[in-house]
Amino acid sequence: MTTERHAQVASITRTIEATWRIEAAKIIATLTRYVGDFSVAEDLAQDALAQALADWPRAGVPDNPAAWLTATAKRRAIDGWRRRERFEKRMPLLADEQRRFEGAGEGELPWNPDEIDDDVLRLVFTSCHPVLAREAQLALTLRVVAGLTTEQIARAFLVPVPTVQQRVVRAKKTLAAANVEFELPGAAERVERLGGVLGVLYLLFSEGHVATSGGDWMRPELAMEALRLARVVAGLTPREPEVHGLAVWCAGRCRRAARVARRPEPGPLGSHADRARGALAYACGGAVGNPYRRNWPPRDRAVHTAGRDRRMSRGRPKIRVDRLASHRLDLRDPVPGCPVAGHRAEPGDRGGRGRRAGRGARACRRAHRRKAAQYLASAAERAR
Amino acid sequence: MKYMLIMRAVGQAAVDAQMQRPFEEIIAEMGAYNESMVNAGVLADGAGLTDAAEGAVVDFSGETPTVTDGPYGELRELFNGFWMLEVSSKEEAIEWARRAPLAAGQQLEIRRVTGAEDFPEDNEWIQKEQEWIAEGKTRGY
Repeated sequence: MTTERHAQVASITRTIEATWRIEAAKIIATLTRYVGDFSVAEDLAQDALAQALADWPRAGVPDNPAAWLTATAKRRAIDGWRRRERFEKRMPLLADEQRRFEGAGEGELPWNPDEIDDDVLRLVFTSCHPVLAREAQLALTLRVVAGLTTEQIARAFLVPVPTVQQRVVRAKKTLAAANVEFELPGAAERVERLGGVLGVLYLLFSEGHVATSGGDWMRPELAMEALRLARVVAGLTPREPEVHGLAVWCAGRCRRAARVARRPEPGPLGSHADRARGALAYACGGAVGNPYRRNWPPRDRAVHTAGRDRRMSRGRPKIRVDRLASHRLDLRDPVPGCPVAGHRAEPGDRGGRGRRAGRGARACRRAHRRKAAQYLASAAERAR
Repeated sequence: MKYMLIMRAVGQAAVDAQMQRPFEEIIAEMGAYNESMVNAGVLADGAGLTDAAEGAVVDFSGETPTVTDGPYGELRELFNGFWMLEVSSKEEAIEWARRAPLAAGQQLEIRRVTGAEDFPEDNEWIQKEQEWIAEGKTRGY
């Protein structure tokens, strides 16, 4: 193959990856509705993606890539049913679907626009289902909702590719064994389940924000992906107060940018004059002017509940940024389990444990910042 | 990575053609497009520009800047809006651009927006700008 041809194939591969990122969740959600089984749908979608990677460099990118991928996966589903002689059972459904898509012209969506948002949300809840271990939830969310390839996930978590593959396979088996329905949680468990989803996103973010393994000091891509997913979930659940913890993500992102730009060689927190300010101001700064801010604090505290799940935390900071932000954002009630509970960011506040103990506002604020800084310290920073 | 999709009409004819279409229709198409990007978590910002006649041009060719009221007249390409996307690659930005509800005579230029990583970290002004962004004094991209 000539160099030119290599470059062309590489470019098409990147285009396929980009398309996949944009469409994966919708394709898998649509297929799950179609075949009635999330695991099967995911397999079919991955097969279609593999087919695209094989075909498109030769045949070119189709005009409607999402429709192509969905149609290919559906054809494979039909082949599978034929083989397993379950075709007849599915026949009425197929006929229905067929009728709907016969009429679909070039450039039309391969899914029903009125249903797709709910379907993607179902996908989010399925990937973050409580029967799954955290690692499985992370891998599944990245693969299914974010549309990352196994290789990209492996790279992000600095683990071998087979490890990620195993996690995904096991996760799908667990979901199947537990008979998890592809449904939105009912009102009763919605808050709790949403807390679980946000917990996964926070973990992704902190995993990207503060690398826990390897020499990588920070993996911005993963943090950015988590941010994107948070925006997706916020878009899908506009009326849920919990998702407005999004402000926090902006805060984290601001801080990340500042940290990368200013301290490529991080020392221990507190060694710079602006460290304490960095811990607080950067954490809160992103929330300023954020439209979600006015909805903070979340009524049900699912965000905080999520934060207290320490199964994956390995003692590393995770939820603290939002706690700091929530203090600055006039959260008057102490947050249960908050490391800086009892302290107030502003001297004019009702006064916390520090002030009651006889310390002045300034000392109290200093203590607050010191604690905040401690909790924002990453393993990497502490190791230095 | 941040990318800007810059919408421009190639010549006044395209702008006029766009003006002929029912406003509701344009808004509905644009709205759906924007919503799809919001739902995908990639839309950071975006806005349309009003008619060039409402603007002005400040030219620095001479010794002192000269100000000309719009319309520019001679310019062939009229910029009339932009989107700011936060995506993982140029290809992803292109994929989104392809979906824009634009017609013949209109173009989208895709440009990467500089980030902190494009500048020397030890520059005082770059550091200051990062602080402004962090403190919410300027939005920054």
